[in-house]
Amino acid sequence: MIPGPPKRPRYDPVVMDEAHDVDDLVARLRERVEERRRQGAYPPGLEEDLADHFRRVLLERAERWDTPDLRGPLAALQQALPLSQARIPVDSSLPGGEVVHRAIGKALSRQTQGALQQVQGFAGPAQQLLERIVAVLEKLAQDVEVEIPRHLDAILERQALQERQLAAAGAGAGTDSGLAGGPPARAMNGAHRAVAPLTPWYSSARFEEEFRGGREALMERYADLAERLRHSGPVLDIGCGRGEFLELMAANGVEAWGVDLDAELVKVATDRGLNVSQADGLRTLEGLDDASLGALVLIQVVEHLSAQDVVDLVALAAAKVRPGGQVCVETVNPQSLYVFARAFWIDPTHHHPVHPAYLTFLFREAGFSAVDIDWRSPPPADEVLEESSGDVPEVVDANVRRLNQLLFAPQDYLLVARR
Amino acid sequence: MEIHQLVVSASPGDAVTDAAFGFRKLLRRIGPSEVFARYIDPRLFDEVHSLPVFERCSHPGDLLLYHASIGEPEVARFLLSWPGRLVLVYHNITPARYFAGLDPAFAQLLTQGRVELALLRERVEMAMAVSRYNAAELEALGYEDVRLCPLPVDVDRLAGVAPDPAAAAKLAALEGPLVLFVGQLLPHKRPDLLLSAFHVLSTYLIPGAHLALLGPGRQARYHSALVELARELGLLHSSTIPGWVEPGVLAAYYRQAAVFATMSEHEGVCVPLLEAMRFDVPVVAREFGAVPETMGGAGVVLPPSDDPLLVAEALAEVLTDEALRGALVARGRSRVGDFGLEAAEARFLSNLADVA
Repeated sequence: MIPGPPKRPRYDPVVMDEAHDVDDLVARLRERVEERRRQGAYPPGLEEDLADHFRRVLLERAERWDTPDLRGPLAALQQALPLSQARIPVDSSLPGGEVVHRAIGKALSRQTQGALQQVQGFAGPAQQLLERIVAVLEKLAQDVEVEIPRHLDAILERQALQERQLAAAGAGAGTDSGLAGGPPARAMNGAHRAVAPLTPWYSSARFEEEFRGGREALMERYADLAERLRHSGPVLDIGCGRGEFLELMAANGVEAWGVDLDAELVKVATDRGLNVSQADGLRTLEGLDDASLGALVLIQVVEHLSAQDVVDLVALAAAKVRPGGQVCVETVNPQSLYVFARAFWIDPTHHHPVHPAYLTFLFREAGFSAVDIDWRSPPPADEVLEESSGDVPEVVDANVRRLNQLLFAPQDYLLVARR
Repeated sequence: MEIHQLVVSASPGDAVTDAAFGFRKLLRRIGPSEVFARYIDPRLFDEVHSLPVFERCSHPGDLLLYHASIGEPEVARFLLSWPGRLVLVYHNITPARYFAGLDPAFAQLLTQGRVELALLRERVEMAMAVSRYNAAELEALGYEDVRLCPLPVDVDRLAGVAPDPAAAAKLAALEGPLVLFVGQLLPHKRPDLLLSAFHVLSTYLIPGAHLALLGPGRQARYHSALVELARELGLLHSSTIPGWVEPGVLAAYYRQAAVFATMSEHEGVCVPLLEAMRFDVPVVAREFGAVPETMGGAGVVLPPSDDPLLVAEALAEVLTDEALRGALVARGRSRVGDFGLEAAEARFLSNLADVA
């Protein structure tokens, strides 16, 4: 018979309530860490110190690749040079032997010197050659030990990702008969491009101005994002529009260029001297070398894409952004009902909103190491439901708060995924 | 036709070896069935036979279950040339990068393991994976119709082991709460991050807390670096890193633990999570590999960040918030019930029925 559970306080089988939802918990814990930091409870740089500490301890213990000691004999060789007659011993155990040796040495001095010079002429270059060989061997050993396993891991992971893409493309082939080009073609031919695009008679620049806001407003709005990417060049801005974000990047001295499908907006941007071309974002991305981007930026773009394009985009981003690089995606927050009433459907080219949980999932699945969400653009304070001044039961205010959460959550979110 | 199993390396307490023993019990109901290995711990000489014995005695009609968890050129060569029928059981292979620079030979075996998996694809009649996470890896390598086959883990077994009296007495004398990690002390399990987080916990949040890292070292240099880190962080009196311990001692630790913590970055299943839940110990882990799948929402699964402050804060929360502890323990109990031995056994036999 199995004994009962171990002795410890018994708990009633309570269901984890909302207050103990793990996501909420993590958010609260993060806040608490920040709070303690602000209060000075932790010494500055504590976590970096801790991480460095172990790296150092481990490094001290990590032995190098088991190459034999090459530097020791090399040092001995260096000490042996230059050759000199004075280093030829003349001592002897026989009586008067030393005098005889010196006399012979003197008599043969010219010949000895000549022989030494020839040997020195050989030994000097030979020593230099050996030094170079040792340096090359050490570099090779370092590669074998550290670099090759790292590269093989990366290759295997990349292969797995590509096979997944191929499998996904293969699975969809039956329903996508118009696209006979096989998997790569599918990645470029999202469903939304199969739908006849909107060709309005009005000016798209006027539309942007009316509903997205003026240049200064946009530049102010994205200054924080530009700051975040200050050391992340080169940056590709897909759907760059009039190029406000590229201007910010240029002001920061970061190499950046953009693409947009709208010819009119592209002209506005190029007229300002920005590096922008009229092209499809996914197609552009596909043509880049792997790991060639420091950052990829998509501001208010993914809500224009088909579900398949969003999936393809994330896979391509994983391939094209270098390890340590970032992908920044800002889009509308479908968790805010206010957004649908006031903003989302103004733009007739919006396809469907992309939920932050799904987008996070996509980036994690594609192998991005850290995915963070930053909530942006809260609805105007005067539109949010007001709480009472204290003369109604608390339950009313609690309900107001819940409604506010549902109706008036921030209108946008910025997802930052680190490769 | 007989059904046998092959593991690369058999040793007591090893999850892969235990799985092979669990399956052997079932297979012996059908007919003769043995476990073979390339490397055998001397303590298992009576239980496990060497690969050359299988090479000599097997018949082309036999079915061999190969448990893949690392590369081994000799085993791979044998599997590729052996004419019999092959079923793969995938336990996952740790990414080699964790061992690059530390143990190049081992790193190479891990890389080799993934290459061998790809090579074996054409030879394998059926592939089973012990978690959905593992199944996805096989599918990414082109394996089709990968069957899920939960480990035949008997989580009740450890709970039934009498706790070692000396260890239990020593642990009962501790004044502060005990943070417990159980698992191999290897880089991908990130015990270093746990030590760092524990340093924060015991220095700034809960002075008097204790930490125990239990599990085989298997990598002397890494193990000694961990001990050195604990010393340098001033944790020698508040932490213990005893290496592998007897089941009775392990049971004593689980019974005393106030929280189970693992920072592991790579898990095919992670059996200690189930053990912790079986012992009513709340779990704090990170979102990597099969950890979220195994936890099924029953513990605090932190996002995959390396922040020791966040981990310390999570440990402190679980140690001090009684309502949260209660909820986690209750969820853990319910979750561990999903890993019933009988269900796993039935799944294994039904998978096998399709090829046998």
